[in-house]
This record gives sequence, C-alpha cells and structure tokens, in this order.
Amino acid sequence: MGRYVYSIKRMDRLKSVVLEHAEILTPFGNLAETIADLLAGESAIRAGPCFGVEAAFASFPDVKFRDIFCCISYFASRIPFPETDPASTIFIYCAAKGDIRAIEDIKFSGASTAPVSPLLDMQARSICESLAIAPAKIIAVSNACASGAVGIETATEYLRAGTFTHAILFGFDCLSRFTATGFFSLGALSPTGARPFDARRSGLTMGEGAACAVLSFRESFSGDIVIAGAGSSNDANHRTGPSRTGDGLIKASRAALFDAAMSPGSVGAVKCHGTATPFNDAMEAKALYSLFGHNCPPCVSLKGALGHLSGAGSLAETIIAAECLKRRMLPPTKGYEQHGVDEPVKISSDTQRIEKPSVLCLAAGFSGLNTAVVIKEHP
Amino acid sequence: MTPFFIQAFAAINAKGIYSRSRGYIPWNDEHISGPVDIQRSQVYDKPFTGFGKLNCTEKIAFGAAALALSEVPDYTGDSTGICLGTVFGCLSTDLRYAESVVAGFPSPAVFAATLPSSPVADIAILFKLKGPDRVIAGSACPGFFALENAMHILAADKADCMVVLLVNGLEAQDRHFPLIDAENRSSNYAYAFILRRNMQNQSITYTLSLDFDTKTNKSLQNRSEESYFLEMVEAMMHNKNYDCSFKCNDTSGTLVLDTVGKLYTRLA
Repeated sequence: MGRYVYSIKRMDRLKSVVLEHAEILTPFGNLAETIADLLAGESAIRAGPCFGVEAAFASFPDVKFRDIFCCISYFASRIPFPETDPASTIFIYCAAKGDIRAIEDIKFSGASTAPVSPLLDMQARSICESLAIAPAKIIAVSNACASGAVGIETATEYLRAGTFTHAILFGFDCLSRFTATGFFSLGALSPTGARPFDARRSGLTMGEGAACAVLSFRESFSGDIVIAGAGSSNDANHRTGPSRTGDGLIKASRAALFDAAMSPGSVGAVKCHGTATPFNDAMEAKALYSLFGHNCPPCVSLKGALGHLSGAGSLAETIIAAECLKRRMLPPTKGYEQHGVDEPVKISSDTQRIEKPSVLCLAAGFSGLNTAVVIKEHP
Repeated sequence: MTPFFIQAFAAINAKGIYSRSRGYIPWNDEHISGPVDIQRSQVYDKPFTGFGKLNCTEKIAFGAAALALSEVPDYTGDSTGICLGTVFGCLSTDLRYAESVVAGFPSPAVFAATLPSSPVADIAILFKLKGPDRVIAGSACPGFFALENAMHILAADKADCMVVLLVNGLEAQDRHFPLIDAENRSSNYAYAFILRRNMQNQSITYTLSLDFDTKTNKSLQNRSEESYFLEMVEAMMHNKNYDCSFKCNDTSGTLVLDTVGKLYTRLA
C-alpha cells in the first residue's frame, strides 16, 4: 500500500502545469467550430422563449448533449486520456448544477427515477466509469459560475504538490427549466441577448456547455500552454451581486499574477467574466482599471456570442482563451457597440491582436466568489 | 511532512453543540430537537435578521463557523478563506425551488441558494472573510478533502487562516429522494475547524497531519466520515490526542491530531 505525503514548498520549479489536451462543446459546437465562429464574429444567441421564459438563450447545436453521457462519449472519442498509472491521476468535476435531469424528471415530469443522480459526486463517479478510467482521486468542485476556474486552481495545487502527474477536468452545465425560471425570477436575463460592457446591456443570456481538459505536470516546451498561476477571493458583500468596487476580483487577479510571478504589465490579454449585467460589467471594469490603469491590454467577453455557460463556462472559456493565445488573436466582443462603463477598458467589436504570450482569465460566481487564472505560452 | 495547526473547532450534530468555549450542549429542549431547529442565539451573539431564512445547510454551516470563529479573535478577514465539504449540497433547496416552480411562483430567494456553495455567502459576509473559497461537493470524503484543500491553500501562502467545514443538511422529507444513497449517509451536521500554517499564541492548539493512501487500505472497513470527525472533536473537547486510519467510500488515509508541544513527524 503506497502512501503519498506532500510537503510545503517541495514543488519542482523546473516543471509546469501544462494544458495537454482539451475539447469543448458549446452552442457553436466543438472547439474548432467555436473558435472559427467566435473569430468570425458570429453569435449563437437566439430569441426566446426558453423553457417558457421570454429571454434570449444559446443552446447546443444538438440538444442530445444535455445528456452528460453524450458529452462524455464525444470527448472520449476525441481526447487521448493519459495512459499512466491511475494512482498518479486526479479527476476533478466542475459544475454549478451539473446534470439536473433528476430534479427535472422527478419534480417536473413526475417520473419515479432519472438516468443520473442529482449529487455531483455520484455524477463524477459515473463520468469516470463511462470514460473507463479509475483515477486515484475523484473530486467535485462546485463554486457556482467560477467552478471551472476553481477546478483549474485545484488541479494546479495538486499537481504542484507532486501528488499526481495528471489531472483530468470535466465541466458540464446545461439549460433547463430549473435554471431558466430561476434566473428570470431574479431579473437577471436580457430579453434580447447579452451585450457585454455595452451602454445598452440589460442582463445575461443563458447558455450551456461542456468541457474536458487534461493537465500534466512536466517540463514545458516551446508552444506549450501553461497554467502559470491561479488565485481566488470572496467579495464578502452580497449573496448574489458582486462588490461594487471590484475589490474581490482585483484581489483574485493579483493573487493569480503573484502565483504566476508576473506583473500586470506582462499580461497580453484579458478574458473577462463579462456577463453583461449592469453591475458585473461595471465592477469588472473598475477591477481592470485598478489592475492596469490606462495600459489595459485587449479584453474580451465571450458571453455576448456564447451565452453564459454557468459552472462549466469558466473551464470552457479558459480553453478557448488558450486557443486564442496560440493564434495571438482575441475574438470580437459580440453585442458590444457603445462603451458602457466608466473606465477605459479595451473591449472591441473587432478582433484584437495579442502582443504578449499570456492571458488573464477571470470568473465570478454567486456567494461572492472570484477566481483568476493566468495562462502563458512557453516561448 | 509539515503539520498544520487547528486553533479552534466547533460541531453541531445529532447529539448537540460542541465548542471549546461553550462546552458540550446536548439537545434537551422539546422545541429544539436537532441541528435544523438551531436558534441564532445558540451560535451567534450579534444580530443577524436573515438567520431564520437560511436553509438547513446554510444554518448549521453558519452556526458551526460562527462558534469556531468566536474563539479566534486574531484572524484577519482579508487573508482568511473558507473550504467547505458537503455531501448533499443544496439538494433540499433544489427540491423546494422546483416545488415553487410547479406551484407557479418560482422563488428568486430560494433559487439564489440552489448552489452547494451558498453556505459560504453569509459566513463570508458577516465575518468579512475575503480569502479564497473552495467547495467540495460530495466525493468519497468531502470533509477530509476540504481539510486537504485548505492545507494546499495555506501551503501556497494564498491565505493565513482557513475555516474548514464539513456540512450536511437534508430535510427529513427529502431522504427518500431517488439516487442519493441517503440510507448510507447520515445528515444534518456541521463540523468547523480553524486551520493555520503557524501556531498562534493560544493556550491550546492542535497539530494536524493528514495523509491519503495511494491505494485503498483493504484491511479497513468503510465508515461514515462524520464518525471520524465526531471522534476528533470529542478528543479535542477532552484535550486528548487523536490518531486514526480512516476509510470512507474506499478512500483511506491517516490523520494525526496532537496537542501542541508534541509535534508529530513522519517520514514521507
């Protein structure tokens, strides 16, 4: 029986957390399709109703992907999972609600059972069984809409601690009557579609997505995308609304940059959370101005094109940011036409070049959660 | 292997309330028969008008965190985070929200709490905890994983102090919901620990060391995670050391808890 023990500061500084493989499913389709459509300035947002709610939404091209096992099968056919000793692999499931069919089928449709448990840990185990993998540790991380980013931070800590050599991250959240009615009751939805940082923004647009990434801890080589740093914080302000000052997001961003041993001046681009609610975008603009001042790097919000992919979103959006980094090109912020925040944030309705090889990826969630992840391309 | 320090602890479970400052208080009031009936005055001395509107998980999580934090006057909110492990998460709240939808009146207040991370909100707000947060929903042993993740966060200098919570809240009417294995999981308890990297000036502090086995220890029987946490709290209530090999849902390891002055080292 083996035993692993981690030590503080035993991290091998010659190694990095490398993004080995990744795939996503979004309202545009897979990763390649999503990147192509984003860079072309397309939008996946459609007019409602969505589950009886009068609001715009963005759904999978094929609604069969609302079944988590369909997503798993798709990823299994496209991602080479590491053929290493299972004892050296950790599996992290990132979701706000995950596969919610149990609640919907039993409570809304009167069924007596459902294809999958409502509990995230049982979903995580089912995912591993479907993928025919037996990792040493299976964890479900659920930090609201920042779940994916927190999953990346969690994986990075485990890998750096030397307890595992590989981490498999899986994120999933889908449209449902449960979430559609919920966000509508909060008054958070835009009737016409998200317009991040725009003067006429009126709320978020729900989307759905799945993402899978394989991280490894090894020496990095030219062209590798590395998870350079991550940091989190809490606003300690309100259950659902962000801090008006942006302090929490500033703190998380600075923590991530410190973790990456980087200064704000070396950031090439920012992938914003950018939900297009009046308060979030105002707060985020304040945070970005506090971090970068008048030297703000190019920024993008993907939610004007994709919708808000909930807990899986911050994992999917980080993967998209990595692809954009490889291309040195940020997609346009769809829905942005007239600058609608007080600070000179570098948002654009056109593509923007990424001049430096790094992206700061931001995410926030209910309960005051803020998370930032820094990705870099190894020169 | 570097140990960490538990500076304070508290528990709310089927037997009663535990904390070092208040001692063990069993449930003996006919109106307060268990954790879900807990009153604000039993756990928190300051006004908190929203306490009665919290769901069962949020209420007992807040109660345990409040009791533990009341014994740590020197924590700095800016560098204190929360690591929460929960088995059932927000399931009862999910079901109450779904019922409000079926009734034709979706409740925004209830919907806002339909996340496993919702107990973090009020704890962070009232105690001004602005450090990193992490919520482990389920898993084989969410409490041990929450302790482990808190250790990671402290080891990386992302926080000075972590409030570690193992919480389970499930209303009695929901125990028969399909696919949740409720018969094998006890419910309605909260355990809170204040975990730090460095020992503070306290009369009693505990060193904590935690290892996980790379392969499941087949010589052990599976036990509920709460049973280990209850033993740990009862040991600390009596200022005793606690050393266990644990196994929960086929995840095994060892935990060593020592009163300060007996720093425990183990070869890696």
